[in-house]
Amino acid sequence: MTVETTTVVTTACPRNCYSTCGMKVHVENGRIRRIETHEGNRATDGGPCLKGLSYIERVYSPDRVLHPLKRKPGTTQFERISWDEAIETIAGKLSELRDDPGPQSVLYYAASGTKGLMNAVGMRFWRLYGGCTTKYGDLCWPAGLEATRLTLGDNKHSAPWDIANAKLIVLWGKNAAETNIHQMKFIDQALDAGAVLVVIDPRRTESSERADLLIQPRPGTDGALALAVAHLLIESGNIDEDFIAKHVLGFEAFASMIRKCTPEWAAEISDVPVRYIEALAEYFGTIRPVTLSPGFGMQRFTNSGQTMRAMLALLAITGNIGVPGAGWVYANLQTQIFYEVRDPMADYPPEKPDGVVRVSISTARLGPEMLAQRDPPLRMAWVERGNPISQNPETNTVLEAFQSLDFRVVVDQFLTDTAREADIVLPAKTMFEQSDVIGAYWHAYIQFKQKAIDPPGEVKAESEIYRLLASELGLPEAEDASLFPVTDDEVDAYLERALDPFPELTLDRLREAPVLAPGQEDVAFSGFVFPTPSGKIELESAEAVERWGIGALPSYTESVESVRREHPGPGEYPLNMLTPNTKNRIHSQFGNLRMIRQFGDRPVAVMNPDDAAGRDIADGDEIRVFNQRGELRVEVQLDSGLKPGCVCLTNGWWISEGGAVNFLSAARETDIGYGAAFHDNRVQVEAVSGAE
Amino acid sequence: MPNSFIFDANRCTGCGACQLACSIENELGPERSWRRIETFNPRHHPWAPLFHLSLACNHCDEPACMYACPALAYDRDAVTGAVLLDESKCIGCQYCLWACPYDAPVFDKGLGVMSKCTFCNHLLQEGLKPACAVHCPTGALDFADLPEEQLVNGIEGFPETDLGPRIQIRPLATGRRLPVMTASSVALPVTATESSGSGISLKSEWSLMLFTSAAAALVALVAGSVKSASTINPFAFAGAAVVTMGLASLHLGRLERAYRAVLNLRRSWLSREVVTIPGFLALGSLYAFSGPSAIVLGATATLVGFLGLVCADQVYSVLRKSTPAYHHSASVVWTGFFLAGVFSGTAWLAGIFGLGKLALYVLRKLSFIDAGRPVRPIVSAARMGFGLVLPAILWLIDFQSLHVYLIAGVLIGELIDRSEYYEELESESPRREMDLDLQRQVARREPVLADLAAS
Repeated sequence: MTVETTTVVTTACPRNCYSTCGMKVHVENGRIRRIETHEGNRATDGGPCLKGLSYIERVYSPDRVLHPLKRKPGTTQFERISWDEAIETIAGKLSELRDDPGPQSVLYYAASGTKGLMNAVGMRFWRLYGGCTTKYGDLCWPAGLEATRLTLGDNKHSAPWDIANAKLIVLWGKNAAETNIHQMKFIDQALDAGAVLVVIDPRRTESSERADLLIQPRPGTDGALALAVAHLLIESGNIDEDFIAKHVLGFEAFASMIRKCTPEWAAEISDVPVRYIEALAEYFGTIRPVTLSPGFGMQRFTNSGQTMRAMLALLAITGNIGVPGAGWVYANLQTQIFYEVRDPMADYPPEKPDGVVRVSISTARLGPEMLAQRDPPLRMAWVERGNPISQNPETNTVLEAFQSLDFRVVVDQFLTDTAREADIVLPAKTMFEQSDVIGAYWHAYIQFKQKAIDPPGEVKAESEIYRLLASELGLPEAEDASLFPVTDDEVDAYLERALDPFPELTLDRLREAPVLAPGQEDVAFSGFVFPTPSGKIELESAEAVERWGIGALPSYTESVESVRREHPGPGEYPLNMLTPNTKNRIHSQFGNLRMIRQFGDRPVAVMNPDDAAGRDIADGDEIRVFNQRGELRVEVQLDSGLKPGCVCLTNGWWISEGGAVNFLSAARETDIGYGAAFHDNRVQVEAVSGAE
Repeated sequence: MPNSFIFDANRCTGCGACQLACSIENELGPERSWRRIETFNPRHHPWAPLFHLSLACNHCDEPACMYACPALAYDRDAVTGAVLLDESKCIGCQYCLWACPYDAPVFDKGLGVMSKCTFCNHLLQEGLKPACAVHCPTGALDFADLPEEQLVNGIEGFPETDLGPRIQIRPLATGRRLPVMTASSVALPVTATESSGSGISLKSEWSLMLFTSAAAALVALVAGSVKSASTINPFAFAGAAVVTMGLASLHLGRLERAYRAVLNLRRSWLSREVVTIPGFLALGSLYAFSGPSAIVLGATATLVGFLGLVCADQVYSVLRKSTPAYHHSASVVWTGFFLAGVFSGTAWLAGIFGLGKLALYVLRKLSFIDAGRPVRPIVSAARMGFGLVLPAILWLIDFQSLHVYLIAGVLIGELIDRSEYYEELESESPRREMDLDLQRQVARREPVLADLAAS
C-alpha cells in the first residue's frame, strides 16, 4: 500500500505576461496534480489562464529536452550526450575563443522567457569568464517605456483593480481579453458601474465587444489620432487648466503646435471618419476619470515613441493622472526594487563601455548586427530564455547570422527553432524546478516562485550549469555558492540576501503569499511628484531632443512602411501585416502543447472579405504572404471585423509550422528606446495557384 | 436548494481555462474535456454580436440522457444532484447524445463508451465547487445553490427545453453596447463552417438506415406470407435476420455488453426496439422453417414485428427538432404495410400505403421549398419514379410476370426515402442553434450596430 503525500506549494508564473499569476501547486507523490489560483494575489485571483493550467502538460511533455543533446555533424539530428561531455566540449570551446580572438567573440543572448533574480547568475559567469558580447534594447516595449519616462519621469501605474473606478476606459491597441485576461474582470466591474469603454484596434476582438466605440485606424497612425483628439479638447476648452498650470510643462507650445492637427487631417491619415475622432474627444473631454491602457503592439512602429507621447498628452491636459480611476496603465515597474536602474534604461548601452562586456548589438537588428561585428567578430552564441530565430525581426538574417557562427549553445526546455540550430542543447528547468523571486509589470506583487518538484531527467538549473562550466574552466569562483547557488538551501540563501534591504520581504512571508512591493502606490503619482528634469509632466522634453533626436513635442510622422491603402506605389506591398499575440501562447512558448493546440493547431492568416475578393481568394484557401524579406504559406480565414488593408497572423508560430511571422518583419529600431519596430511591416498576399 | 452552474455571457472571453480545468481535474488527457466553448459569430459579422458559451452537462431535473439510455448506465446522485454515467455499464450506443439537446455526453472512440461531466461530484462531496467554475479567470463561470426561479437560461445557441437544466445563464445585457465599427461593412456570407450542424447524417448512420429498412422488409415478408400463404426460404430468412442484427450491432461501442440494451424497457424506446426486433426475427425464422401452415406463429411474428417497427420509429422521437416519424413517408411502420402489400400482391394494401407515402413525400418536399431547404429534385424524382410510379404501372400491366422488376423498383424507392430520412434528422445542438440564430440575424440585416452619424 502506498501512502499518498500531497503538498500545496505557493508559487507564481514567471512568464513575460502582464498577469504574473499567483499560484498554488498541488504536488501528489512528487508530481504536479493541480494548479490553482493564489487568492493572495488580488490582481489574478480569478485563476490562471489556459497557459498556466497547461503547465501540467508542459512539465511532463514527452517532447521536453531532459538530457544534454549534441547535433550529429552535418545533420539536423541530435544525439544524447552526458553532462560531462557537454561541459567539456563547451568549456573547451570557450577556452579556445578566450585566447583567440577573445572573449567578446561569444554572444550571450538572454531574452524574456523566464523572469527572476536567479537570471543574474548568467552575466556574472560571463564577466568571470572574461567578457562577452551582448545586446541592448528590447523587443517588447521600450518605445512606450521611454515615452512614459520622458513624460512622467517613471514607469508606474495604479493598482490593476483601480481601473474599476474609471468612468472612461480606453484600450488603445490592446486586446486585454487575450493578453491581459485578468484586467477584464476589473474592466467588467467598471462597465457594470456605468463606465464607457472605447477600444482602438484594427481588429474586432473580445475586448471590443462591450465597447461603446471601436475605432479602427490604419496601423501606425495612432499618433495622428491622438493629436487630433488633443486638438479638439483644447479647441473646446475641455481641458483641466488648473492641473496643466501646476503639473504640465510645455502646454502652450504643444497647443500651438497641434493647431494644425485637425480631425480632418487625422481622418485623412488614419482612415478613421471625423465623427469617430470627435466622439472620442467628446468622451475624453466630458467624462472623468479616464484610464488609458495602451498595448505594446502599437508602439512597435518607427514613429511610436512619438505616438505614445501624444497619447500621454491626452491624460496630461485633461488632468487624468494621480487620481483614482485615472491614469496611464502601460507598465508598472514598482516591483523593480532590486535593481539600481529600472527599465528601459537598464537595457540601454552603458555610457562608458567597461571593456569587458561589449554591449554592441541592437536587439531589433540582431541578425544584421551579429553579422557586422568586428574586432573580434562573433564566433559563438549562448542563448537562454529566448528563441531569437523566430522571435526577432528578419528571421532569414537571424538564421544566417546564427548559421555563420562556429559554435552555438542553446538552453531550453524544447527543441525550438533556435535550439534546432544549436550544436549543443542543454535542458532547461521549468518554473517548478528551482526557486526564485519575481516581480511583475502590471500588478506590484513580489512573489516567491517556489520550487515544487525536482527537475526530471538530467535537467539542471542554469546556476548549476554555469557553476559546472566555471569549474571546468578553472575559475576559483566556481566554489562560491553565493555566486552560483545550486542546492535548494544555497538558492534560498541567495534570495534571502537579495531581500535583505527590504524588511517587509522575507522568504518565509513570501512562502505563504505574494507581498506588495515596498513603497508601491495603489494610485500612481498621487503625490503629483514627477521625477522628470523639470519635476513636471513634460509634454515638451529637452531630453527627447538630446537623447533621441526627435522633436521636443510629440508629433506625427508617417512610419517607415506606412501604407495608404488607396495609393500603394507600383510594385509596393499594399497590406499592413498585423502580428498580435494570442491567448494561446506567450510569444513562441506553449504552442507545442496538445492542450493548447486544440484551440488552434495551424497558422491562419485573417483577411477582410473585401481584400480577399479583390485577389480571388476564398475562405480556407492557401495563400502566400510575402514581401522583400520573406514569405509564408498559410491558410486564409475571412473575417468581417478586420480593417480592410490589413492581414493578421498571430505571433509565435514556429518555423516548422510554417507560421513564423518574423520572416516578413524588418530589423529596424523604434524612434526612441531601442525597441523593435517590427510591426512596421508591409506585405502582399496572393492565392497559391493550384491549391485545390 | 439544487446545485447549478452560473454563466455570464457578458464576461466570458472564450479563453478555454474551464475546458482545460475539466481535463486536468478529471484526468481526461490533454485533448479530452467534458466542457467546451462554442462561439457565436466567430467571423465577426457586423450585424451580430460576438460571444461565447461555455457548456458542459447541465445535470437536468429531467435528464433526457438518463431516460433514453437503454442500458441503465445513468444514475443521479440524490445529494448533489449530479447526473452520472457509469462507464462500465455503457454499451456505447450513443443514444444519450441524441437525446441530450446540449451535446453533453462525449463518445470515447478508444474505449467505445460515452463519458460525461460529473459536476466534479468528488469535489461537491467535499463541499467544493466544480473545477471549471473554480478556474474561470474572469468570473464568467460559477457555481452555486440556486432556487428554481433563478434558473433563467435563454440565449442564442442554448436550446430551449423543458428538461430543467441546472444552469443560470446571464444573457447579453439588454442595451449591451456593441462597438461602432469603422471597418468595411461588407459582410462575409455565413459560411459553411459557420452553418455546419453537428449530429446525425446518412454518412454517420448508414448502418441504421440499412438495419431499419431490412427490418421493415422482413416484417413485410412474414406479413405477406401469412396473408397469401406463400412459403419463405427459411435459410435465406435466417441469413437475412443475422445480417440485420449485425447491422444493428455496428452501432455499439461495446458489443460484449449488448445484453444491457434491454434493461430500460420502462423508459427507453431503444430498449423496446432491442427486445421486439430480435424477437420478431427469431419468431419469423421459426415461422419460415415451419412453413405457411403455422398461421398462429406467423400471426404472432407479424404482430411482434409491427410492434418492433413502431418502436423503431419511436426511437427517433428523442430528436425533438425532427419531424415525428409518422409524418414521414419513410416511417418503417408505413413501409412495413406498404411492402407487405407489394410482396403479397395485395393491390388495395399496396395502393393505400403507396398513395399515402406519395402524399407525405410530396407534402414534405413542398414544405422544404417554403423553408428554403434543399429539395434534391433528381433524388425526389428517382424516389417517386422507381419506387411508386413505375411499380404502379408495372402492376397495372401484369403483376405476375413483372413483379420482380416491380419489387426492385419499390425497394430502391424505399431505400432512397429512408436515406433522405436520416439526412433530414436533426438533433438539437448548441452549435447548430448558434448557426441558425446567426443566419437569422444576418438575414434580418438589422443594423445592430448604431452608426455614430445617426446619433
